[in-house]
Amino acid sequence: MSDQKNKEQANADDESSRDHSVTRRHFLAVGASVAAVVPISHGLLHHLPKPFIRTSTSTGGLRMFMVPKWTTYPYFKAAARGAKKAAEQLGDTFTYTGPTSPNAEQQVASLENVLAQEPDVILLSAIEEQNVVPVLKKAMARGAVVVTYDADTLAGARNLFCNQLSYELAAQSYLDCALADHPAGGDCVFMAASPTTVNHMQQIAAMKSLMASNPKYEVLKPGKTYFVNDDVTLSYNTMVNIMQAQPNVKFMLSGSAVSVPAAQQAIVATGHAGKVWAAGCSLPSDCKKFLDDGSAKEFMMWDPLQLGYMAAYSGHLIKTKKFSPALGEALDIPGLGNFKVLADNVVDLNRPLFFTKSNVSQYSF
Amino acid sequence: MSSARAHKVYLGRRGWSLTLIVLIVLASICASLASPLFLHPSQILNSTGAMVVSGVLALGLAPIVIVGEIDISLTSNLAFCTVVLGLLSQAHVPPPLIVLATLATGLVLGAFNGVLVGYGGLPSLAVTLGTLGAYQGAAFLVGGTNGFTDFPGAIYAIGADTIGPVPISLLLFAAVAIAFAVVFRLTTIGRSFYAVGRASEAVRHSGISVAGVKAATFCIGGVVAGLGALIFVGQYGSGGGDSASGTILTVVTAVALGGLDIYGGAGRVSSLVLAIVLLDVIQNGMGLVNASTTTQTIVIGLVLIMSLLVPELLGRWSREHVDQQRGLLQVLRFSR
Repeated sequence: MSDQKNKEQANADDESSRDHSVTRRHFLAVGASVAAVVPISHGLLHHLPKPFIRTSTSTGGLRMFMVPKWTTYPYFKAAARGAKKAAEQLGDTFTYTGPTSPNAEQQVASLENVLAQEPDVILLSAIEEQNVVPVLKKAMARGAVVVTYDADTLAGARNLFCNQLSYELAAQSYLDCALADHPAGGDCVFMAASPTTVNHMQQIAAMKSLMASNPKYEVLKPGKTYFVNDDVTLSYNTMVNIMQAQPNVKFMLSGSAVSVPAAQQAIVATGHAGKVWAAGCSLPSDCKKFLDDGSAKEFMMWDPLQLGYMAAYSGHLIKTKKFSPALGEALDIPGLGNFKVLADNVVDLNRPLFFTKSNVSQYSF
Repeated sequence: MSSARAHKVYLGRRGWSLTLIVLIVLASICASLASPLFLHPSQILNSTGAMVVSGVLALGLAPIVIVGEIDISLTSNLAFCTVVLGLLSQAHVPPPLIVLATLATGLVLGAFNGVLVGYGGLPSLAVTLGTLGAYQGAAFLVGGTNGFTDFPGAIYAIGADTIGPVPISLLLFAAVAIAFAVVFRLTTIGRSFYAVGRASEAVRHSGISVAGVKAATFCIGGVVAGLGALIFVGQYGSGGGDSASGTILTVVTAVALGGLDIYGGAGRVSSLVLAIVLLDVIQNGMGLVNASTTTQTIVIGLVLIMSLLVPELLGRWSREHVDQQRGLLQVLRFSR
């Protein structure tokens, strides 16, 4: 026991006698960390694309920011190309930023960072309807114009929603794709990102009511809705499970351009091609192989470039007070057309594109 | 082993805080060079919103890590608390009662983990991995997949409002940090956390209930998760099963970057707070130049590894250096 005490005492002495070397070591440690971090951050700044580093020289135009659900998806990149084109024509600076995966809290953090950059116009595709409301209201209170495109938030938290398709027209287009695949119809299931993804849920409601009311679609029978978070793997696995558990399901219908090709891939991979179909919204680049191999006849989408252009252009018009959204007002977008503002300040682009084997290779998104 | 531990503790006490302060200054310089918008007090105060929920959870995790355990279910605990909060708001329960009930819910969920780990002797990583899924699942079952969006103004204010320019959530974070710093350093309870983390065997003989202390830290973590839920609903205007899902990695990163010994027994609240500040500065600075979230994750990962690796390598180098000098002295002594 006393031996151990002695040892401890000796250890303590050791520590104190080493004190000066420990202090020196700390400074070395700090110095080396500094040396390591400086080149990293320095390098990073230089590798950031030029438009991301805003200089203080202002061109006199508006500061426009586009925040998609996630930045890497070709659909949102195409919409950004459209918005950038409008911004360039109007002399505005344009920044495309946001989360790299569809994470609702990261999207709020991105919006907070945009807000700190004193935006004039924010273009947003909301992952979640409610989550973004506090930050958007803060932005509007500071004078920013908020235009949602692709996926909406609450009407009170934005100035305008540019809707690619009315929910009814979208629903009808999806059902038309299904009947093009297999005119005899059959049992259907649905996929949505989450119960709070407004456009997916509204479209599903519209599909159900069309199946119930329109004789053209009464061969289609509605079933369960699955929530797959705009996730490729989850959509694929869910489709595999659906086909195992419900052998009489003929169609999976969805407004998610992630879920539709993922589910069709699951159908082809498990040998169900020609017996089960995933129908609805898909990027032409994603559905081309299914149209080519004949496992599906038709998919649909709209032109995201047009949608992005429309959102950016209308945002500019609202901020410069050349257009004030209200029920029945006309919104004139040069080169695109004349649109009527509907209830809750929504404008519908309503230009569905249908992709078939013969036309799919014309599109570049 | 014990001397290696003592050495690490020693290095952890002063060197780490100093390293973190230098890194914060550096990151701030980089951020203000990259964006002229960074160095504005209101901007900086506003940016804390993105980190405050993870920061509060990291504080809650601190006592658990100090006793040598881990709780990765804290974010799911928070999610379940937001559901309770939502249900009580729907039922028009007075706000003070909602606050108490939310904190109590966190306490109960934390205690469940604590009893299994402390008294059941089960490994905390496995237990809380289980409850990570279970609490979130329960939150979806009870709250439904839609979650809640209506909360009384007083509850909403906790996460959304400011006192002067300072967010209430930031003040709450500071209050918890100061309380923890005082309790950990100055009270018997706090010292028993470190004692349990350093040497469970010795403590067992000294009459302290190791199981009790461990369970208590999980309860503390749980209450703090409840507080996190109160901040969360104001910040994001919604609550439900998916609240804060995926942020546990940020929480654990803060704890590791804060220099808390993951095997228990060492770590200071002040270093943890500095680590959270550093993460916030990096996130905010990179966000202002619109760097992608992937780039942010990579940079934070690199900073974490560098901050662990560099002091470790230098410590090893100088130890060898001291040993060499000693060897030389001994040779001289023998040759005399």
